[in-house]
Amino acid sequence: MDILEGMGRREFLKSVAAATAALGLGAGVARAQEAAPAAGGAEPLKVGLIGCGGQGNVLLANALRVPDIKIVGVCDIVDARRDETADRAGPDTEKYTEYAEMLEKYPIEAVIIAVPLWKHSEVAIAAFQAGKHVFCEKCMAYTIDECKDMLRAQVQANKVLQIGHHLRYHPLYIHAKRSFIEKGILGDITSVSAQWNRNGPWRREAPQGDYSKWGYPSPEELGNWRLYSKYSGGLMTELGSHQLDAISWMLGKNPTAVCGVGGIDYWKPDSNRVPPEDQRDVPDNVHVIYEYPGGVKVDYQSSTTNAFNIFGSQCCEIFRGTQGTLVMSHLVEGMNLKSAGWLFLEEGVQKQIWMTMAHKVDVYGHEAIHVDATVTEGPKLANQPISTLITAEGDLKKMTYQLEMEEFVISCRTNSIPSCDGMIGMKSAADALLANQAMTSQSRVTFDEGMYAL
Amino acid sequence: MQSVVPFPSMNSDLHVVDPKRFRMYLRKPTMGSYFELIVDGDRPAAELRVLMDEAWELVQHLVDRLSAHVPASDVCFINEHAFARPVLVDPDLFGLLQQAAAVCEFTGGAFDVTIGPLVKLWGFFAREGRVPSDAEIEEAMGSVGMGHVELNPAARTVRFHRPGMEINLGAIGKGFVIDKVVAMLRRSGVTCALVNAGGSSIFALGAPPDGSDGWRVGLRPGGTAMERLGVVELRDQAFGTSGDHEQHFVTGGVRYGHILDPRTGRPVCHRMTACSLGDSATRTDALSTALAVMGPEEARRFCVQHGESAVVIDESGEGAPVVEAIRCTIRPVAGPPQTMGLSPLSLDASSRDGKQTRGRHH
Repeated sequence: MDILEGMGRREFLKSVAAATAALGLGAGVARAQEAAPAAGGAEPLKVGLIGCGGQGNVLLANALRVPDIKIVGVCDIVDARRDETADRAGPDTEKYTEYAEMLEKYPIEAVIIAVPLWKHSEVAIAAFQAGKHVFCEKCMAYTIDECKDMLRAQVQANKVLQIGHHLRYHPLYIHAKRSFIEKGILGDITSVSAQWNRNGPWRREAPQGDYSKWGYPSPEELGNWRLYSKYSGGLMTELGSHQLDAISWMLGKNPTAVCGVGGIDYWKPDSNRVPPEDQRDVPDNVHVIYEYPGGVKVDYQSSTTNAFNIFGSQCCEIFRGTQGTLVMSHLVEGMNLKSAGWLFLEEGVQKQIWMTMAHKVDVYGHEAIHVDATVTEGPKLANQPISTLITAEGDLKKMTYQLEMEEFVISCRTNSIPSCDGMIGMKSAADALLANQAMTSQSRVTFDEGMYAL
Repeated sequence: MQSVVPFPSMNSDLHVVDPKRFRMYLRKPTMGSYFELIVDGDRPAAELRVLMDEAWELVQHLVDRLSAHVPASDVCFINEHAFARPVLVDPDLFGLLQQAAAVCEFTGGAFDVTIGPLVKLWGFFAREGRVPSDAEIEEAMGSVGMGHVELNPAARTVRFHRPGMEINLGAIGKGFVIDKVVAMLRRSGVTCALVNAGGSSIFALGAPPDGSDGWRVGLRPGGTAMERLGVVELRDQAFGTSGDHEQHFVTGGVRYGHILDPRTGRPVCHRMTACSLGDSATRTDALSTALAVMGPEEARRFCVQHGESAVVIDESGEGAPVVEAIRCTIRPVAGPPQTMGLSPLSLDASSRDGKQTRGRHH
């Protein structure tokens, strides 16, 4: 597998999408808007779902809304979960326990992978080897080497790889990036703070049964794989990678170094706060600081003992610039698209005309301008492409997951590069994985561009 | 009319009733009002906390899928696409639509989830009431009626046969959410809990551990602090109530309540509160609305004829409300409320939060 050694992104993209013009960042999202219904009466893309847990079912529900996608099979090692999911997918959905069997036997064209993190690369590589396109949930893989293995397999198969960083498809985030950050309304951004805090043990009900042959010695370790470092990167890969990907994307740059601290500080095994089977070894309390080019510092925290957030949900990202502050909070309204964002101008900064017309609220004496794509269209988006997602209220009817599914089907049909491809996925995985490394080693870890070379 | 559940202290979320017994309490704003849950059990507090978290996650998940106020919900998706093509529906939602169709048929159309166009026409969707013209009502009525909805169980699809149709689950959705939470609690081994959505839909799982026969739900006139008319006791039983004491608007001296009659396209005129008791909160939620649409006389006849358990409270007269219990018992208000040794508070369980329409589900 050394044929790609040293291959840069440009060459990589060429090899993946030889038959198509490479699309710029965001262009794929605009295309996604045009995706439904099925173009030209083509047969829907036959897709298999591998992994029928919570996230698998979220992706399924959204894939079912895309007329161009037909979920023909589902796969999970937990029978009950698999059967329920198959039922949701519709009558005649094939059911599999082993993903290899589904890849081999059934004429699917693509797979959606939503299995525990440690299995992402194994399943994705098998899918590429079987000639399938791959949509893989974030975080892309358990290690950067595994990300690279996935990319190599993708190139060899010449198929699509899309990673599920869904905030890149969020109309309000796209709006905020284009209309506030890129247009300089915030001024120079030197600081970003983000959090995803919960108050609870972060546990799920474990399934019944024996799953040792799949690498889970106990049902506890399968049901709560996020709590065990042999399967997961804990809070950083499962929650943080969403927001860190969004921050890098919105800033238009990737981190250069990270340091941080974390620990199992409250939900300790063998305490009376968790059941006896809980033998977690990933932190329940992480605080990390990233350095970005241009002196930007990003601090991120995720804890599990306090869910308070003045902005109304468990999570938010706060971009601080010399002219203003942008707060994004994608969980304010649950997982639908009515998420909230607010713009605060610094003292003395002149308001633009559209700001005077925008909906505003008072937050302890500070005027907050609502980030609402249907109202705060920035300077009316005069120079924006008409296809931009954020101008039509109709797009609020689609969840981010549906938009990413729509782009996936177009990418598969045209063998083109999705907005969140494997290279982007690998860099966002690195954000989370290197933070864990920094916390474990109690040191400052640097991001070397060379580490992404294939 | 307001029903009141005598309730233990709810100032914090964890009570040590005795060293081996914990009680967890949760109250969150949702569905245009609030969701409330008490779970009581002899299990570790951490386990109860996980249960409460899971219950709340389930509620949020269901609201995101069922609410006509959430643009990306399944219901909005159906409303947008089901005239153009059959829409594959989640098994749970399909089951709910089948139940809605069954209650519609059972009540001769007094309950109908396809009143979405009317809810919007009368301004109840946005809570900005207006009186439409007869022509507007007639036009909207062309897009109302469960008979124009095709439910295909084999393909599990829903299809509208008229353009402009809109499903609104406001009068059945809360009950459905409650039933799903109760099922989840039962699966987890919970035998003692009270689940309450907005005071208008309640399920009592088991009985309070103080030896009572059941959870007591008090009845008292519409949203006032007047004396309770009586108490019904619930054990493994659902309770739905419907009335329009608070959600209404007045134009030209005429009062328009928010309960719409799907058969006429107009708000009902009678002042009453209807309560339905049964095994399923989904059904009692829907039935209580149907009874409120029927009016006191028809509601009484209907319940007697079909053997339904209900409380019909006629508030149309000048004097005191006329209360009639059908196949259930209203107990006098006597003795102290159930306190389990804790300070008593009243659970604000009320029909005033509305059945046919909701505010924004934020």
